[in-house]
Amino acid sequence: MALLTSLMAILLMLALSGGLTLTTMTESSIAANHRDGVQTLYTAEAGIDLAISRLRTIQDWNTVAAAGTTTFVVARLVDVVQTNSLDSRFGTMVTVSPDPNGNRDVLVLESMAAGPGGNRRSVQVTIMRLPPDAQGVRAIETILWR
Amino acid sequence: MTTIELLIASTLSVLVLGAVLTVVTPVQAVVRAQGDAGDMHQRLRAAADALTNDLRVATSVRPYRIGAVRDDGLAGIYYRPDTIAVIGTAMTTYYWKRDTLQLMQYDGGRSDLPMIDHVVRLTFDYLAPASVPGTALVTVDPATLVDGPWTEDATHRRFDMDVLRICEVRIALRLQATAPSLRLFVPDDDIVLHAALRNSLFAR
Repeated sequence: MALLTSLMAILLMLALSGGLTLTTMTESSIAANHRDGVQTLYTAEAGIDLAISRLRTIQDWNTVAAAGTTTFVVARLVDVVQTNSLDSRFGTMVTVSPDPNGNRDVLVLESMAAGPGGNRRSVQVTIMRLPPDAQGVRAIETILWR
Repeated sequence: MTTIELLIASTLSVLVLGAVLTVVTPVQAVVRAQGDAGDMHQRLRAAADALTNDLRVATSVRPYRIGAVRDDGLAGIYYRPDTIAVIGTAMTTYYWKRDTLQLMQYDGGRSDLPMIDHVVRLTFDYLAPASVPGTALVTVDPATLVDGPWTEDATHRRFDMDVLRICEVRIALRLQATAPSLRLFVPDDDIVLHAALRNSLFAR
């Protein structure tokens, strides 16, 4: 009788602890996937910033626009930030397209980022180069971010 | 088996069963609490994603409800600490329904639905560029959002022009466990989010 009771008690405890472990593991997976999704989105945004930074150094955007839709940036986040503290699986590819309305000072950037666990995020930004200021500097304005 | 042996065996069995139940009962509560903690985290993630995804692509915000039903602007209310209307390609109002403890999502038309349950606190603070360029953003005093100067949007709704200075929103959200009995094991969870309006005038 005592043996039977003990066995049943052990089985009950095993079932409870198994359920608890399963719940914890599922919760950890969901949290990790959400974190990776957010980091992938920020990787896509970092790609846009990097592309704008590089476009700032190009004097004549006509050469970029004339090529049609082109791949402008392909980068891993660890290389962009230059640190080993980030997951090396985050990366992004940024394409540059001319303005659909034909404005030569407007470009459409699309950053497609990938992260661990099959996470994918995309950001599209339309930018415009403003006329030169008193110092001859042409600032870049973000027209649309989505 | 004598009566005495039977009595001893029964007593031992009751003792063992009692010990087992003493251990198992709290464990059951812990298992339930664990599930509820996971549920609360999921509600937090859902709220954070919905709010930040909309705010990220918003062109502007209003600190009050906008829409065909119970429009705050028409009632002369231009600030509520627990309400935000996000204006972008669509117009969505998020607000805290105090009596049912729910985060509500209103589409500006007829759809006014609960999004997240068991929300015990929701506040929005607004940040704008400081008067000195290049310095950190400053929190907007709510009084400045209701004192004019006034202007109208494309739908002829009057609003305080100071809302156009808002370029970042600080969201403070507090959620609680679903069952009162579990709140001993699952404490309320607070998160604070900052969402920058990428399409605001300041971002340009």
